[in-house]
Amino acid sequence: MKKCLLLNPGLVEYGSAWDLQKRLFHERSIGMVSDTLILLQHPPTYTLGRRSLPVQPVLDDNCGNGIPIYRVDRGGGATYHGPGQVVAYPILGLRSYTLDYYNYLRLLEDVIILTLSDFNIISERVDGFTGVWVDGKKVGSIGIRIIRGITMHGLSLNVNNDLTPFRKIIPCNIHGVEMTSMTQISGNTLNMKEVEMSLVNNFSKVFDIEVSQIHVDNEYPNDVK
Amino acid sequence: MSLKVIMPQMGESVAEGTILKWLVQEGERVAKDQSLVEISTDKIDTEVPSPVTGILQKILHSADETVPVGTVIAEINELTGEVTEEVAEKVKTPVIQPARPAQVTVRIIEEEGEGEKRYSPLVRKLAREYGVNLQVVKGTGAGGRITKQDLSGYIEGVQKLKIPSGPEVEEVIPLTPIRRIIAERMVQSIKAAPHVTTTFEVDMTVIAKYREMNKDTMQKSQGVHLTYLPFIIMATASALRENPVLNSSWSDSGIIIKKYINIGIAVSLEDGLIVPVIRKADSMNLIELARESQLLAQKARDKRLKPEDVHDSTFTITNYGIAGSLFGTPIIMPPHAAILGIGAINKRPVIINDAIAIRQMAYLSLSFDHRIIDGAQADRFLSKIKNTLEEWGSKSEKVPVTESGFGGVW
Repeated sequence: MKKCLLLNPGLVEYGSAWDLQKRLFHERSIGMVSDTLILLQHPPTYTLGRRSLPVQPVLDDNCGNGIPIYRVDRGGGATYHGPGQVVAYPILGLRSYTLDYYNYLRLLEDVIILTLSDFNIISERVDGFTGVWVDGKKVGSIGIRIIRGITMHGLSLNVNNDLTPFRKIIPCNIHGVEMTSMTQISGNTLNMKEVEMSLVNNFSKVFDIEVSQIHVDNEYPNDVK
Repeated sequence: MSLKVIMPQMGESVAEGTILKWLVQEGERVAKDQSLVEISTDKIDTEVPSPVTGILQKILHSADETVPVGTVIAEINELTGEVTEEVAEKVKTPVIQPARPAQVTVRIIEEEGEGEKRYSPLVRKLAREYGVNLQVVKGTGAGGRITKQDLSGYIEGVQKLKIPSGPEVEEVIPLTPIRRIIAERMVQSIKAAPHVTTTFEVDMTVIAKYREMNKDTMQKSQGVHLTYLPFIIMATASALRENPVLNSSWSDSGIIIKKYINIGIAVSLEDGLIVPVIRKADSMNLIELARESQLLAQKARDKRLKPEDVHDSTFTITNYGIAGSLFGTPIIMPPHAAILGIGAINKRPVIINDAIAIRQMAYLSLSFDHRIIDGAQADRFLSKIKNTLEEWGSKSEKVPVTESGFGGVW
């Protein structure tokens, strides 16, 4: 069985997490580290993918309310990250799992769908709109970058997070899309640790991989800004 | 040597990519595997690495252009181990001061090249003649320089090796991305889904007559060439509507029945196979099906398929009969539950009412996922298709009347 390291550094500012991703991506590319799954949360941040529509309200009238905005090197449109949302960045040598980049998107969707079902939430795919949906609302988003078979960026799943910041952008380039969260669907506040554990389990199931957590040193502290 | 850089195949369902940014400009040097260009699809960003070390000669599609997979987007002039004067003159690297004389240019470039050494003109000439990459030759001269003896020794060695090892006996054809994807999908399908194939013999005589009678008029009035395929698509769509379990996907949490009938038609290409989709096939009449299948097959061969042309099929039809095959055992295309194969339509003697008759016969084979479908269900489905085809024209209620007056007949 293939092995994968798990990094779970908690709440990490987007820029530091991006640096960490880039570093691991580089090291994975030259074979210095094995496949790695980074699981974390971000303080409130907007990120714009390369394909973000040029018109984003948050940029137009500077109404980000002090929330930092990053233009990032991933596919997909704009999104929002914030505490209470689980974010997973798999840094994988994709060729051992699939050669089809789009199949990878489907596998990530499977991870989210299975995680939701662990909490008795039935979710689905919507054809042509990558991501995971519950009753026509989007609960999980995906945007990735793959260079020479190595992946970075990944998925986000709304658990307990505030959904209002999504209204200031056009999430994932889908006009009029409504975002939802596991809390909103189930009516209960969920334990983040439990959701994270379920996500890691399902990641291991879908990719048929053994995940082992490694100790996180102080290099990537919980630097909330 | 000039090499073509193409828009890569990023996934089976992806037909095009958008160029975001060229990382190397025309006339600049690239190393093998260095990223040439950033490309993107709706959800994925990636980069195309250079296949060789060389000079980016020409950019054929600029940033923000969206082009189909397989399109040539640039040309690279490959540099071999040594830098020839000819190529060196073409190199427009920023280190060259315009005022410097031409002879110096060559040397600057040689020194600039990573890991490249200087070679004597004789050695260079010999290497060029025999097509030797000098970087792999071990030098015994001063400072590891390659002498003429080193090179002739190397060439002799290579020639000796060539005789017994015999590249004439075996040849490795590199895997194209589409080949890899086909291989992966086929293995994935055959591993996951227990395949069973069942075959029915279908009397196509009525269809053949009907087609003979109508094909010229249809060509003239509608501009479509009427083949057997649209009849079979139509019969299949209606059988899928009656047997929804054939229009489904396996998942561990349950069988997912698709409420839409999108039939994929396997089209063979020079270098593989693609399956464009006829959406809502159950709502189309014969002319529409004929036109749509013809259009999609043409688009596939011209590499003009858009992503939406290959997405979301729920069932596949493969027409290997075109090539003369009588029947086959096709592999199901994931995530479908089944695939229908059409054999060649030939005249055969058959018994009807204890008399021998000459009829147009074809074998239809259905491979199905035995996790989802049992034999009896599969045979019910196939016999429904058989009945529709054999009794074509006897029921006319299903098809809408078209402007031309076609439609009322079937």
